[in-house]
Amino acid sequence: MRDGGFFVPTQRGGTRRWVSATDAELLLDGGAGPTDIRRLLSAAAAPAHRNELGGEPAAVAAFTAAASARADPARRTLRGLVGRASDLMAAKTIVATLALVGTASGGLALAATNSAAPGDARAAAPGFAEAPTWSGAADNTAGAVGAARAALSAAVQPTAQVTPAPGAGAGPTHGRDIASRMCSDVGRLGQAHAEQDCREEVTAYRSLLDALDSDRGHGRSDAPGQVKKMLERKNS
Amino acid sequence: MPALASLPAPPSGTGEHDLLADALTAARAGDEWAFVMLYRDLQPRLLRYATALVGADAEDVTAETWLHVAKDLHRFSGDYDGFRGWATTICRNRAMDSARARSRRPAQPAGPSELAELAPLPVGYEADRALLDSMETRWALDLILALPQTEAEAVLLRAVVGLDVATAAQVLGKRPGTVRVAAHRGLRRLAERLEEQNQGEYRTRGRRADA
Repeated sequence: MRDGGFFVPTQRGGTRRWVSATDAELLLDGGAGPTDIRRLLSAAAAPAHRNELGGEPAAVAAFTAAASARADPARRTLRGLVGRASDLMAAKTIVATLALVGTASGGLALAATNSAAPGDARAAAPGFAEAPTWSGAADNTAGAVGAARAALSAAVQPTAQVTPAPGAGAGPTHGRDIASRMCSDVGRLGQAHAEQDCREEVTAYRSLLDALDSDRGHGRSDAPGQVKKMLERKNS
Repeated sequence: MPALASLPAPPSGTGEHDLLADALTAARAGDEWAFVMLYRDLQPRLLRYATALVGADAEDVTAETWLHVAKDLHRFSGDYDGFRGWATTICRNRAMDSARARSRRPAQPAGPSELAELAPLPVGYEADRALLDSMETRWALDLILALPQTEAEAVLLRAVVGLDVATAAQVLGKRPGTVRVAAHRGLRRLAERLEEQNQGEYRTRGRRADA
């Protein structure tokens, strides 16, 4: 054996191909190589089969229980955030929030490119003092998850620090695109259910944003009613 | 056999790897949804690795592993590759516990390298095959699990769990060079098996043509 390598058969058999130690490392790292051995390693590392994920509910339950036990204020899921929004959107808060939105000249600060820290946003909207603390991922808005979280966080924290939009609704569109891309990324990992959940959450937030956008365009006379209706729909 | 869409370990710097790195950060902060992403990425890898160690007990071993991960994730510090290494180490330790519990021998202090003797590979493996509903995956794992234990472990940690050489060596408590050699030997042996399979098919086809 030279160079610590070895021969592998080609797909049709009969001929053989030399695999050096470097080639072998590449193969083990998931890189290209002779067809047969590449196919074997890819099959061994294929995405999860349904039967392999049977322990997921128990693992998630353990995770949730551990997080609850720590009473970590950062424990929030996207779904939980929607539920929390209904708690937080008490009539007084809605009025205060809409007043803030109404005084803003542009759209909601939704895009992940808005670098305002969550703390700043909360200071601008005291009604959301109990809003989730987006620690961790909020520090990393470069990735899809961080971007979407920042986007969703900003969606329920209207702030006067509005991203100036060159065209009407440009800011929110950007944020929605990011959230949508994140769902696609989740789907690419072979997680059809997670992608579906993700899209549902994004749709719910779109409804909320549409209600607020519509309010801004129509003297916001019916905005509290619209928001309430949307939350009732979501909770039913 | 049909080609499978494969999910080899996403190398650092890819979008997928970045997404999982973000999921790790979010899960450490308590995000359930992010935790599910980590689970779905890592669980099949751990289950396949654990099957090589404890056969039919692999599912119990990975379940215990995730309980540990769920409890201590908020304290974990490191990147996503480090997370995989950490979870795999827990999985291997649980597998060793399981193998010891099954063993009728008096309890003996055993190092990681002795696992092969504690958990002979074929025991109970057949029962777990139902878990792997893809024929191609099953075929590939059959070939890998038939390797000598040290080679099977090295190949699985590198190519299936997705660890780099240094992390795999840490998990196994061996030198990186030792793990590299074991993985290469495993690949060479797999290549030999593939060649035998190919020649077998070739001969079968030849006989059919003659008939």
